[in-house]
Amino acid sequence: MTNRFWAVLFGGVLLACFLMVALAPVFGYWLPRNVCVYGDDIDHLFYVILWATGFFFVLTSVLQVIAIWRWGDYDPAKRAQYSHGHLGLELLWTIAPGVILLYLTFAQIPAWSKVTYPSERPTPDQVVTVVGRQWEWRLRYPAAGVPERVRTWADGGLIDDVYVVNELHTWKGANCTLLLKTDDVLHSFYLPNFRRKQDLLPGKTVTIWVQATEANTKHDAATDTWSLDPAVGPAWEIACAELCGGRHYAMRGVVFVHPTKDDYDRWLKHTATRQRSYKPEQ
Amino acid sequence: MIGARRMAPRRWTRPLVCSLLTTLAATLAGCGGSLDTGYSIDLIYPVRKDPLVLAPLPAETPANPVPPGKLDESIRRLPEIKGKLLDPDKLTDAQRADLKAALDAAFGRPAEPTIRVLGKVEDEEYADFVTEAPASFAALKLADPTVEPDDKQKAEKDQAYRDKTLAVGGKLFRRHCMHCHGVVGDGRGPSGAWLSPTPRDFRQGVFKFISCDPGLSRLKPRRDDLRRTLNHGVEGTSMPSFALLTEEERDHLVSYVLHLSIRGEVEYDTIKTLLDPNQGPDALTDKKLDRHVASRTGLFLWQWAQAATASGATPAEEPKATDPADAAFPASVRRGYQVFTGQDAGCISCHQDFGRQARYRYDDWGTLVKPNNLTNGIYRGGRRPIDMYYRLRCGIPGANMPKIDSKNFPDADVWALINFLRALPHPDTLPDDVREKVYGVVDPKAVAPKHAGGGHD
Repeated sequence: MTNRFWAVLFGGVLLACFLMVALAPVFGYWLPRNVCVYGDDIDHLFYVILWATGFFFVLTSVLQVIAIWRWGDYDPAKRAQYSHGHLGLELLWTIAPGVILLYLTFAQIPAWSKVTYPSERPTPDQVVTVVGRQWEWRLRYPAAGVPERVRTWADGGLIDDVYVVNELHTWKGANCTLLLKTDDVLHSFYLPNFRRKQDLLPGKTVTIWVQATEANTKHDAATDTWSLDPAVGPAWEIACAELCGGRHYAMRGVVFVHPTKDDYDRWLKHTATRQRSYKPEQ
Repeated sequence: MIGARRMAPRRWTRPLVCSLLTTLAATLAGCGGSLDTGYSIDLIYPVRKDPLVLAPLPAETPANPVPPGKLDESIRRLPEIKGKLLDPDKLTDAQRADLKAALDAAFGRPAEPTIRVLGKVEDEEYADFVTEAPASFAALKLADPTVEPDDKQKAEKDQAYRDKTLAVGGKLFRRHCMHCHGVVGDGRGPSGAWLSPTPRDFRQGVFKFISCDPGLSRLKPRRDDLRRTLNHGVEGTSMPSFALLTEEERDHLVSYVLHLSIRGEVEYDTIKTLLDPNQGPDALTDKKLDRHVASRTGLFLWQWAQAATASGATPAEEPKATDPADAAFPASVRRGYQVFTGQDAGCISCHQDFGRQARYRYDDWGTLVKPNNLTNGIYRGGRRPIDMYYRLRCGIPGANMPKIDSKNFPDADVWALINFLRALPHPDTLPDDVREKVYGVVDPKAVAPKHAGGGHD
């Protein structure tokens, strides 16, 4: 009787885990809202892997609980039976995971190439340089989207470039290309809502791109300021996903997606004007 | 035998379950635990131990910066190269105890910070500053703005408001700033020693990036200056932006920095007076020391308030051209180049080769700093033309960058200088003749590429 305790404990923990996972979305603990064009591809892969690993986790755990329940209360007088294995079973549990891994290997190729291959990268509508440093993100925007500027500005910047700390501004539907650099140590530029995470390597410029499918920013004409639209929900965060020092946790930023290019341009002009300000005001 | 085997599982079942439950309980308690990250009430502001660096600073400077973590050692070696130090170790135990008591009474402790101007000051010279203290507090946003001036309990209410603001600010300071700037704001927090440039030591009441009226006898930052530094960080240094904090939180932090700075400066001044050989051995004892602390607190408060209430370094004239596309821009840049390289302003004598070959120099804190390499496009005090205007008109106190006076250089010249500085990192915006003088080539594409902006030099 005593040994049924373990079966109940293991079964209970399993059930609790299952309930927690099943109920998490109800309480809002699940993937953050996807707002990137390739977010669905990433999420699809996530769910495939979640279902595959989840299925086998539940299967093996249930078998374990059944085994403990059925044979846990053993008779010490009875001798153990030694098995030399079962060829059919061995084949099954070698080939089945092999097939699944092969499937994952090939199934991820389209998503991986779409997200990371330079050849697949769309023509940028906007190029932003992101410099990570302990502990903030410094972003640099070209003041206007002249194509030539996109080519040349990465190496030195131009006089009218706009510098902003911790705020990534783009607009809905823009192919936003980000040139990632770091001033000091390794950081990782993470946009959870865009399903994109990329390490920043000292001495190297890493290029990534995102494209927003939704906007979250509105312009207040009265004060001529931009703010996050509360109706869209919580802010879309920029996070550092690589432990980079004491205030790693504070290395956060916010993504502002403007509804239109016009609105973005207006913001850029507004910010550029403030940066060019020669009047004493904050 | 059989019985013993049957017992075996039970023997470790109980400890296992107990330990699991204990862990669970501890974890839950940890989750629900207090997130209060204030200071322990037992924590005090220690009296200064590191030496005071006095003028004149050594003219001879090493070619290399101070190695990481060696700031205090390098300061202690300053006398070897004709630097002047005052060592607080020379205070007697009694003097140190008196100083600590007086400072604690006036400024409290980290968990209960305050600023009080205590006692009567007989010294004519300083009596006014003490009388002015309530007005100074009001100018510095350290008095309750909702209390009417004729309220009988105004002093108490203002004090309560001040203490509350400072306590909140102190808590935030502990969480966000103390790691580098230290408990007393000496720039010697646990990570401070490893940063280059070193975090600001507030204890001399000197701040670099200010916008107050340059005519004041003592240049102090305005609250807006400190807030700008918090909002934007200091590019090219380890000071990040704190724009993610709420505006109220940043305001509290500014107040607390003010508190630390005034406390530090009073301490600095008092130690200097105590160790002054001309004062005689019993110049500042007991009551006298208390009065000294009160009068200097009043004085420094007044100086801060002066900077806050005076009009600030306001340009009298607008720039003629601000955009490289403006027709007047090249001429303005050319004029700026003349001012920069000319003898009168003398910019080039420190920013040698436009800062590319600038040498290390000592600043008022005894640290080695390098005049900015202006071809890099990194501006610690901010990149807006108005920020540059403030740097030029107010100078950079502490780092001993002189201010450009308005008699010899009217605003038009300063704006020209600013246009030149803005164009300098971008060879394509310089007129051909200036580009050739600065970069040695006429073709902007022939200028060797440099580290893309945003980094250290």
